[in-house]
Amino acid sequence: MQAGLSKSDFESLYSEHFADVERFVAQFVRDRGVADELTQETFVKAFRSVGSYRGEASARTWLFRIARNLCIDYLRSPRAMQLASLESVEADGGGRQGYSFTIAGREAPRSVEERARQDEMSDCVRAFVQDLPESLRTALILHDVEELTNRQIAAVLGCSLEAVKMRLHRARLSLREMMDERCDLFHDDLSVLACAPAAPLASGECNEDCASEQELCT
Amino acid sequence: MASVRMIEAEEATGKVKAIYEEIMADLGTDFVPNMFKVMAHKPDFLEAQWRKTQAVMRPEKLDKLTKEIIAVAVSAVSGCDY
Repeated sequence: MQAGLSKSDFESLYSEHFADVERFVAQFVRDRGVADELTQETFVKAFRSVGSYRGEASARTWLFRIARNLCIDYLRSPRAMQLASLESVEADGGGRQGYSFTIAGREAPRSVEERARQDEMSDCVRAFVQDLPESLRTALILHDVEELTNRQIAAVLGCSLEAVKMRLHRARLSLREMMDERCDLFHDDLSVLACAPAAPLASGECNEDCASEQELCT
Repeated sequence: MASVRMIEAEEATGKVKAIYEEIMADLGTDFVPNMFKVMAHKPDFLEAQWRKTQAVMRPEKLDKLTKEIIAVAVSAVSGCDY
Protein backbone atom coordinates (compact mmCIF):
# COMPACT_ATOMS: atom_id res chain seq x y z
CA MET A 1 0.00 0.00 0.00
CA GLN A 2 1.29 3.44 -0.94
CA ALA A 3 1.62 6.34 1.43
CA GLY A 4 -1.20 8.87 1.39
CA LEU A 5 -4.22 6.58 1.61
CA SER A 6 -4.66 3.67 3.96
CA LYS A 7 -7.76 1.62 4.62
CA SER A 8 -8.20 3.45 7.88
CA ASP A 9 -8.56 6.70 5.90
CA PHE A 10 -11.47 5.24 4.03
CA GLU A 11 -14.22 6.25 6.43
CA SER A 12 -13.37 9.93 6.13
CA LEU A 13 -12.94 9.59 2.37
CA TYR A 14 -16.42 8.11 2.19
CA SER A 15 -18.11 10.76 4.27
CA GLU A 16 -16.21 13.59 2.60
CA HIS A 17 -16.85 12.62 -1.02
CA PHE A 18 -19.97 10.47 -1.07
CA ALA A 19 -22.34 13.33 -1.95
CA ASP A 20 -20.05 14.62 -4.72
CA VAL A 21 -19.71 11.20 -6.29
CA GLU A 22 -23.45 10.60 -5.99
CA ARG A 23 -24.21 13.91 -7.74
CA PHE A 24 -21.68 13.12 -10.46
CA VAL A 25 -23.11 9.66 -11.07
CA ALA A 26 -26.63 11.06 -11.18
CA GLN A 27 -25.65 13.01 -14.31
CA PHE A 28 -24.93 9.75 -16.11
CA VAL A 29 -27.95 7.72 -15.09
CA ARG A 30 -31.43 9.13 -14.69
CA ASP A 31 -32.67 6.35 -12.43
CA ARG A 32 -32.16 7.25 -8.78
CA GLY A 33 -31.90 3.65 -7.66
CA VAL A 34 -29.22 2.88 -10.23
CA ALA A 35 -27.33 6.05 -9.27
CA ASP A 36 -27.33 4.99 -5.61
CA GLU A 37 -26.15 1.55 -6.62
CA LEU A 38 -23.30 2.85 -8.79
CA THR A 39 -22.21 5.29 -6.09
CA GLN A 40 -22.01 2.47 -3.57
CA GLU A 41 -20.17 0.35 -6.10
CA THR A 42 -17.67 3.15 -6.66
CA PHE A 43 -16.72 3.12 -2.99
CA VAL A 44 -16.68 -0.66 -2.80
CA LYS A 45 -14.33 -0.77 -5.76
CA ALA A 46 -12.21 2.01 -4.30
CA PHE A 47 -12.04 0.18 -0.98
CA ARG A 48 -10.94 -3.03 -2.65
CA SER A 49 -8.28 -1.30 -4.69
CA VAL A 50 -7.14 1.12 -2.02
CA GLY A 51 -3.83 -0.73 -1.91
CA SER A 52 -3.14 0.02 -5.54
CA TYR A 53 -3.87 3.74 -5.20
CA ARG A 54 -0.56 5.36 -6.00
CA GLY A 55 -1.36 8.87 -4.92
CA GLU A 56 -0.53 10.35 -8.31
CA ALA A 57 -3.92 12.04 -8.39
CA SER A 58 -5.96 13.27 -5.43
CA ALA A 59 -8.28 10.75 -3.81
CA ARG A 60 -11.25 12.75 -5.11
CA THR A 61 -9.97 12.61 -8.68
CA TRP A 62 -9.36 8.88 -8.25
CA LEU A 63 -12.95 8.35 -7.03
CA PHE A 64 -14.40 10.29 -9.96
CA ARG A 65 -12.37 8.19 -12.37
CA ILE A 66 -13.69 4.96 -10.84
CA ALA A 67 -17.24 6.33 -10.87
CA ARG A 68 -17.01 7.38 -14.50
CA ASN A 69 -15.71 3.99 -15.60
CA LEU A 70 -18.50 2.23 -13.73
CA CYS A 71 -21.10 4.55 -15.29
CA ILE A 72 -19.79 3.92 -18.79
CA ASP A 73 -19.80 0.16 -18.20
CA TYR A 74 -23.34 0.42 -16.90
CA LEU A 75 -24.57 2.50 -19.84
CA ARG A 76 -23.23 -0.11 -22.24
CA SER A 77 -25.01 -2.91 -20.39
CA PRO A 78 -28.26 -4.55 -21.56
CA ARG A 79 -29.88 -3.46 -18.29
CA ALA A 80 -29.29 0.22 -19.13
CA MET A 81 -30.69 -0.22 -22.65
CA GLN A 82 -33.83 -1.75 -21.18
CA LEU A 83 -34.31 1.09 -18.71
CA ALA A 84 -33.73 3.68 -21.45
CA SER A 85 -36.46 2.19 -23.61
CA LEU A 86 -38.86 2.22 -20.65
CA GLU A 87 -37.99 5.89 -20.05
CA SER A 88 -38.77 6.82 -23.63
CA VAL A 89 -42.20 5.19 -23.32
CA GLU A 90 -42.89 7.18 -20.16
CA ALA A 91 -41.67 10.40 -21.80
CA ASP A 92 -44.21 9.94 -24.57
CA GLY A 93 -46.96 10.23 -22.00
CA GLY A 94 -46.79 13.98 -21.50
CA GLY A 95 -44.86 17.18 -22.09
CA ARG A 96 -43.56 19.88 -19.77
CA GLN A 97 -45.26 23.04 -18.70
CA GLY A 98 -44.11 26.67 -18.82
CA TYR A 99 -41.68 28.02 -16.27
CA SER A 100 -39.42 30.80 -15.24
CA PHE A 101 -36.47 30.50 -12.92
CA THR A 102 -33.97 32.35 -10.83
CA ILE A 103 -30.27 32.52 -11.48
CA ALA A 104 -27.37 32.42 -9.10
CA GLY A 105 -27.44 35.30 -6.69
CA ARG A 106 -30.91 36.57 -7.49
CA GLU A 107 -34.08 36.54 -5.44
CA ALA A 108 -35.33 33.20 -4.19
CA PRO A 109 -38.80 32.14 -5.38
CA ARG A 110 -41.54 33.75 -3.32
CA SER A 111 -44.50 31.48 -3.83
CA VAL A 112 -45.36 27.81 -4.11
CA GLU A 113 -46.21 28.40 -7.75
CA GLU A 114 -42.85 30.02 -8.45
CA ARG A 115 -41.11 27.22 -6.60
CA ALA A 116 -42.93 24.65 -8.73
CA ARG A 117 -41.97 26.49 -11.91
CA GLN A 118 -38.36 26.65 -10.79
CA ASP A 119 -38.35 22.92 -10.06
CA GLU A 120 -39.67 22.28 -13.55
CA MET A 121 -36.99 24.49 -15.01
CA SER A 122 -34.30 22.70 -13.03
CA ASP A 123 -35.54 19.36 -14.35
CA CYS A 124 -35.45 20.77 -17.85
CA VAL A 125 -31.92 22.17 -17.61
CA ARG A 126 -30.71 18.95 -16.03
CA ALA A 127 -32.17 17.12 -19.02
CA PHE A 128 -30.21 19.40 -21.35
CA VAL A 129 -27.01 18.68 -19.45
CA GLN A 130 -27.73 14.95 -19.64
CA ASP A 131 -28.29 15.28 -23.38
CA LEU A 132 -24.71 16.46 -23.88
CA PRO A 133 -22.31 13.83 -25.24
CA GLU A 134 -20.67 11.98 -22.36
CA SER A 135 -17.19 13.40 -22.82
CA LEU A 136 -18.50 16.99 -22.87
CA ARG A 137 -20.93 16.47 -20.00
CA THR A 138 -18.28 14.94 -17.78
CA ALA A 139 -15.89 17.82 -18.41
CA LEU A 140 -18.63 20.37 -17.66
CA ILE A 141 -19.80 18.67 -14.45
CA LEU A 142 -16.31 18.08 -13.13
CA HIS A 143 -15.22 21.65 -13.82
CA ASP A 144 -18.27 23.81 -13.17
CA VAL A 145 -20.06 21.76 -10.51
CA GLU A 146 -17.35 19.75 -8.77
CA GLU A 147 -14.72 22.46 -9.26
CA LEU A 148 -11.90 20.17 -10.33
CA THR A 149 -8.99 21.80 -12.11
CA ASN A 150 -8.40 21.07 -15.80
CA ARG A 151 -5.40 18.96 -14.85
CA GLN A 152 -7.49 16.88 -12.43
CA ILE A 153 -10.16 16.43 -15.10
CA ALA A 154 -7.50 15.25 -17.53
CA ALA A 155 -6.58 12.59 -14.96
CA VAL A 156 -10.21 11.48 -14.61
CA LEU A 157 -10.82 11.36 -18.35
CA GLY A 158 -7.40 10.05 -19.28
CA CYS A 159 -6.85 12.76 -21.87
CA SER A 160 -4.60 15.76 -22.40
CA LEU A 161 -4.99 19.15 -20.79
CA GLU A 162 -5.74 20.68 -24.19
CA ALA A 163 -8.47 18.12 -24.81
CA VAL A 164 -10.08 19.04 -21.50
CA LYS A 165 -10.09 22.73 -22.38
CA MET A 166 -11.61 22.00 -25.76
CA ARG A 167 -14.29 19.71 -24.31
CA LEU A 168 -15.19 22.23 -21.65
CA HIS A 169 -15.55 25.01 -24.20
CA ARG A 170 -17.60 22.84 -26.52
CA ALA A 171 -19.82 21.68 -23.65
CA ARG A 172 -20.65 25.24 -22.67
CA LEU A 173 -21.35 26.29 -26.23
CA SER A 174 -23.46 23.17 -26.86
CA LEU A 175 -25.53 23.90 -23.78
CA ARG A 176 -26.05 27.44 -24.97
CA GLU A 177 -27.01 26.24 -28.46
CA MET A 178 -29.48 23.68 -27.09
CA MET A 179 -31.18 26.31 -24.96
CA ASP A 180 -31.20 28.79 -27.83
CA GLU A 181 -32.83 26.21 -30.08
CA ARG A 182 -35.38 24.77 -27.67
CA CYS A 183 -36.14 27.68 -25.36
CA ASP A 184 -37.34 31.22 -25.78
CA LEU A 185 -35.03 32.87 -23.25
CA PHE A 186 -35.53 36.37 -21.96
CA HIS A 187 -34.92 38.51 -18.88
CA ASP A 188 -38.13 39.30 -17.03
CA ASP A 189 -38.90 42.58 -15.25
CA LEU A 190 -36.88 41.40 -12.25
CA SER A 191 -33.90 40.85 -14.56
CA VAL A 192 -34.23 37.14 -14.01
CA LEU A 193 -33.43 34.80 -16.87
CA ALA A 194 -36.67 33.10 -17.86
CA CYS A 195 -38.12 30.97 -20.61
CA ALA A 196 -41.37 31.86 -22.35
CA PRO A 197 -44.16 29.31 -22.56
CA ALA A 198 -44.73 27.87 -26.01
CA ALA A 199 -46.91 29.84 -28.39
CA PRO A 200 -50.43 28.35 -28.58
CA LEU A 201 -50.66 25.72 -31.27
CA ALA A 202 -52.99 26.13 -34.20
CA SER A 203 -56.27 24.29 -33.73
CA GLY A 204 -56.01 20.65 -34.81
CA GLU A 205 -52.25 20.91 -35.33
CA CYS A 206 -51.36 19.09 -32.15
CA ASN A 207 -53.14 18.48 -28.86
CA GLU A 208 -51.69 19.19 -25.41
CA ASP A 209 -50.34 15.67 -25.13
CA CYS A 210 -48.13 16.24 -28.13
CA ALA A 211 -44.57 15.51 -27.02
CA SER A 212 -42.46 17.40 -29.49
CA GLU A 213 -38.85 18.28 -28.78
CA GLN A 214 -39.88 21.90 -28.20
CA GLU A 215 -42.05 20.86 -25.29
CA LEU A 216 -38.97 19.65 -23.48
CA CYS A 217 -38.50 23.22 -22.40
CA THR A 218 -41.90 24.85 -22.59
CA MET B 1 -37.65 32.74 8.63
CA ALA B 2 -34.11 33.73 7.73
CA SER B 3 -31.59 33.01 10.48
CA VAL B 4 -29.49 36.02 9.46
CA ARG B 5 -31.23 39.38 9.32
CA MET B 6 -30.94 41.06 5.94
CA ILE B 7 -29.93 44.69 5.63
CA GLU B 8 -32.57 46.30 3.42
CA ALA B 9 -31.72 48.98 0.85
CA GLU B 10 -33.62 51.63 2.85
CA GLU B 11 -31.46 51.17 5.93
CA ALA B 12 -28.13 50.84 4.08
CA THR B 13 -25.54 53.56 4.59
CA GLY B 14 -21.98 54.38 3.47
CA LYS B 15 -20.15 51.66 1.55
CA VAL B 16 -23.09 49.23 1.68
CA LYS B 17 -25.44 51.83 0.22
CA ALA B 18 -22.98 52.62 -2.57
CA ILE B 19 -22.54 48.95 -3.47
CA TYR B 20 -26.30 48.33 -3.33
CA GLU B 21 -26.78 51.16 -5.84
CA GLU B 22 -24.10 49.67 -8.06
CA ILE B 23 -25.69 46.22 -7.87
CA MET B 24 -29.13 47.53 -8.81
CA ALA B 25 -27.75 49.61 -11.67
CA ASP B 26 -25.70 46.71 -12.98
CA LEU B 27 -28.53 44.18 -12.77
CA GLY B 28 -31.12 46.69 -13.94
CA THR B 29 -33.42 46.01 -10.99
CA ASP B 30 -35.01 48.04 -8.21
CA PHE B 31 -34.08 45.50 -5.54
CA VAL B 32 -30.92 43.97 -4.13
CA PRO B 33 -30.69 40.15 -4.22
CA ASN B 34 -31.10 38.59 -0.78
CA MET B 35 -27.68 36.99 -0.70
CA PHE B 36 -26.02 40.41 -0.91
CA LYS B 37 -28.31 41.75 1.80
CA VAL B 38 -27.05 39.02 4.11
CA MET B 39 -23.42 39.76 3.24
CA ALA B 40 -23.94 43.45 3.99
CA HIS B 41 -23.21 42.87 7.68
CA LYS B 42 -19.57 42.79 6.55
CA PRO B 43 -19.20 45.62 3.99
CA ASP B 44 -15.72 44.56 2.88
CA PHE B 45 -16.92 41.02 2.31
CA LEU B 46 -19.95 42.31 0.40
CA GLU B 47 -17.72 44.40 -1.82
CA ALA B 48 -15.32 41.50 -2.47
CA GLN B 49 -18.16 39.16 -3.39
CA TRP B 50 -19.82 41.71 -5.64
CA ARG B 51 -16.53 42.40 -7.44
CA LYS B 52 -16.07 38.66 -7.88
CA THR B 53 -19.59 38.33 -9.33
CA GLN B 54 -18.86 41.16 -11.74
CA ALA B 55 -15.58 39.59 -12.80
CA VAL B 56 -17.11 36.13 -13.30
CA MET B 57 -20.10 37.39 -15.29
CA ARG B 58 -18.18 39.89 -17.40
CA PRO B 59 -18.36 38.91 -21.10
CA GLU B 60 -15.05 37.53 -22.29
CA LYS B 61 -14.62 34.34 -24.31
CA LEU B 62 -18.17 33.50 -23.29
CA ASP B 63 -20.92 36.08 -23.47
CA LYS B 64 -23.04 36.98 -20.46
CA LEU B 65 -26.07 34.91 -21.48
CA THR B 66 -23.96 31.79 -21.89
CA LYS B 67 -22.49 32.41 -18.45
CA GLU B 68 -25.98 32.81 -16.99
CA ILE B 69 -27.07 29.56 -18.64
CA ILE B 70 -24.06 27.78 -17.16
CA ALA B 71 -24.92 29.24 -13.75
CA VAL B 72 -28.47 27.92 -14.10
CA ALA B 73 -27.17 24.50 -15.15
CA VAL B 74 -24.74 24.32 -12.22
CA SER B 75 -27.52 25.38 -9.88
CA ALA B 76 -29.90 22.77 -11.28
CA VAL B 77 -27.37 19.95 -11.21
CA SER B 78 -26.35 20.84 -7.65
CA GLY B 79 -29.95 21.03 -6.48
CA CYS B 80 -29.42 24.62 -5.37
CA ASP B 81 -32.34 27.09 -5.01
CA TYR B 82 -30.36 30.07 -6.28
